[in-house]
Amino acid sequence: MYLASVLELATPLVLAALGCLLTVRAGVDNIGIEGMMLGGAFAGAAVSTTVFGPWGGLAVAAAAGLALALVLAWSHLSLGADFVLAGIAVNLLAAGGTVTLLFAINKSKGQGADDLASDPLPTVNLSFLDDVPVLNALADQSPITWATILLAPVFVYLYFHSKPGIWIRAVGGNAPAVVEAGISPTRVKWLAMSLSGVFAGIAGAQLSLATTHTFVRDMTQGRGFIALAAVYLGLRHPVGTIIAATAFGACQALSTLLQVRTTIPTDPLAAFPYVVTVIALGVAGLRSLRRRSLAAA
Amino acid sequence: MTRPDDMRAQAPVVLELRDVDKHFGPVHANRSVSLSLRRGSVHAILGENGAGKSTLMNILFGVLTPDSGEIRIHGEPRTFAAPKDAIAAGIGMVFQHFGLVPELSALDNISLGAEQTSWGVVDRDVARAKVEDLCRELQVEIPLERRVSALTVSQQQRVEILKALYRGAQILILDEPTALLAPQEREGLFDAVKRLQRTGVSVLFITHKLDEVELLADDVTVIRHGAVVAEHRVGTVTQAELVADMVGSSTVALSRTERVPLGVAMAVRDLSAVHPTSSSLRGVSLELRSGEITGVVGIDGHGHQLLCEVLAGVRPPAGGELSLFGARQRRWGRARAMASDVAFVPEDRLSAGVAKHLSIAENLVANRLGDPRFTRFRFMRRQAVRRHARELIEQFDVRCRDELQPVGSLSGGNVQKVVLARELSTSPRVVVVCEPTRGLDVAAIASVHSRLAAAADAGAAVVLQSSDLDEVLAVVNRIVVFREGEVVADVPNGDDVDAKVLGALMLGARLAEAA
Repeated sequence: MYLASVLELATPLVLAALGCLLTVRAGVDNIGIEGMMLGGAFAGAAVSTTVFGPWGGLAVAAAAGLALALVLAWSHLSLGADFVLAGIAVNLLAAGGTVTLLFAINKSKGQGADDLASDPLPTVNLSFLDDVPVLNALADQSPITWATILLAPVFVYLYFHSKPGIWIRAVGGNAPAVVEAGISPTRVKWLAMSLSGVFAGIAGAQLSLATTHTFVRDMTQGRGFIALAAVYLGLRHPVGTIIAATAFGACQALSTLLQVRTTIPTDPLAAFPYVVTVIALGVAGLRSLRRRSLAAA
Repeated sequence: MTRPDDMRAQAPVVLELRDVDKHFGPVHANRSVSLSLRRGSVHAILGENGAGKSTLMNILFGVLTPDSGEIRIHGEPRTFAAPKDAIAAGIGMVFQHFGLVPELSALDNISLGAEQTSWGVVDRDVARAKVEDLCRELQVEIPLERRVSALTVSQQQRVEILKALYRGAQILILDEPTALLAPQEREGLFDAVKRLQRTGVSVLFITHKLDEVELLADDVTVIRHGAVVAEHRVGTVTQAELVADMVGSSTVALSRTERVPLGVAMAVRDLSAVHPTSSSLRGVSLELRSGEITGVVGIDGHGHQLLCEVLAGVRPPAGGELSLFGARQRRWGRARAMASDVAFVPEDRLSAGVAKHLSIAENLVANRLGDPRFTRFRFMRRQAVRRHARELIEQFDVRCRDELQPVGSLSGGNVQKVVLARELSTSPRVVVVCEPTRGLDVAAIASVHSRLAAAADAGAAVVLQSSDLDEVLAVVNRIVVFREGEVVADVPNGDDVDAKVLGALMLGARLAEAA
């Protein structure tokens, strides 16, 4: 039960964090990932109840994440906006935009203002695993979780062995060297940011089409920022990032479990994953600080 | 020593520059530079820092475009809009600070942008085979799988060279390639260059080190103030002649005036100091007298620049004594020096001399923020600051829109005037100036020189560090020559002293031999 919940909750974090990793390595700390997830979650939920169904919702979620990523890439790369400010703008755009659209849809349906029911993705039902210890966590997961589990090794391989993978790392490492090699760093950044948008949109779909069956305003609750934290905590390495994102997912699952099973007040428990994030980042920061002072000495 | 010289002298010209000209605002960085590089030869471009060598190389590699002039490759005129055009024409550049990605492996760096893929996956075996062939040819060994950040500086340089060759470079430009290398590593580099040369690769070798020209080059072109001043076949020219070419022959009229020095303003005894890229100072004893301009000279990195930093208090002495008007200074630092009226004009004026984004007015009071004329309760008195700025702008002839213009938007000469105005208007007792006229035009140079003369006439002890010996000979009363961190000569500037004599002293000749 707990393990299943870890997989379910870690999925959006791992997806968003891998997307973030690409932009971070290309030299852009993409804080807009939060807004891209939120946009994906909303678009997925809204489209899932139409004729396109949940699969159509998933596709549109990815497209919505991509669209927001393109807005960010355009303002940062083409117009020269600072990526932190542009990222904040994208987050505000997503937060405000989804509420506005939510209100418009709900008004026409005469429902409450704050949420929107979705038609969820069918789960991958492997009932024969039900009685196998540990593996039963996999028995009833969403297709997004399965895709994440299966494609993560492919991602890691391509990250190290494909041209785009090498170029993205080169751009963040030393952009002038890339120019000398005849590659345009700007184009590589466009690619990295577009990919991060797609990843974030799908991560959002996991929230509204799998973990829950509704879209609620501001439902990402800082998961995009946690994903960015996971990248740095994972030492900007794909495997490290996956481990860190999964660990944050485990904290969220633990928090949920304790809220359900114990009488500990829920507020501090709900804050628990975020506290862990702050502590983890503090530790990581201290470590890199020490390494730098050693290198300087 | 015999060289396969004659063969190379007949070899076809692979690269030719014709009348290449480049301005940066009022600064004429390259003046009608012409140059030809023969196949399989090593051609040194020799010049002091700021002579325009780097501008020239950036033009060759497509980083900058010339205002006029022509680049010919194998006789055909070419224009380079970007480095990739230069790469396509067979030019490879090894920058002083290497253009490598520290996170990637040596192999990935070498093949970056020229990777071969199958099914979207980079085929490293193809690249490795090719690079290993190149390594065998050059007889170098590089751990190709290791990250560049884990390689030594000289290995990184090899990687950079291999990167150029991997792209088919037939003309290799090495920009100050030995700047970061230890002497043993230098030998290895030179061996590799010689082997390259035998395979028909031509090398342009930018340097300001004379011995390297002699060791490696077939031809040498000397550049000063952006123009070619001499071309020689190596072997037909002495080092002293090269120095004279590099730093100028004393053909300019001397504008110095005789001055009778007053008392000793500043003195150092047995001073030592260390610096990462310069010879350490060892046992330097020197007296700087009020009312006199003292020039400190040496080959780049031989300690004269370091001495200026110590005198100005920006770098701590490691040992010895420093005294000011007879009082020994125990804790010498910039704050202490400023409080003791020691003015300093650093070599890198734009990053160390001013705050680029602040206005002229703010920069002009940056060294006197405690002065009640300009601050009250730690807040700036804007009107007073602006009035003060207007006066100095007028007095020092700073060309600007108004006193609120950011210093960073001024031309180099005007930035220097701002720095001088700030440093000299406090009536300092000691003035330390480094390379005050580098990159300035003729009018600005004359104005700087007259300011320094005025400061000395007003009784300050002025120390001028410049790599332009013409300037030193024209301005100073006394010349101190440094070599390997020690004072090798301390002579009055007179008619018997010229660039040739100083050059010989800088190279280690004794005073009696040099004169």
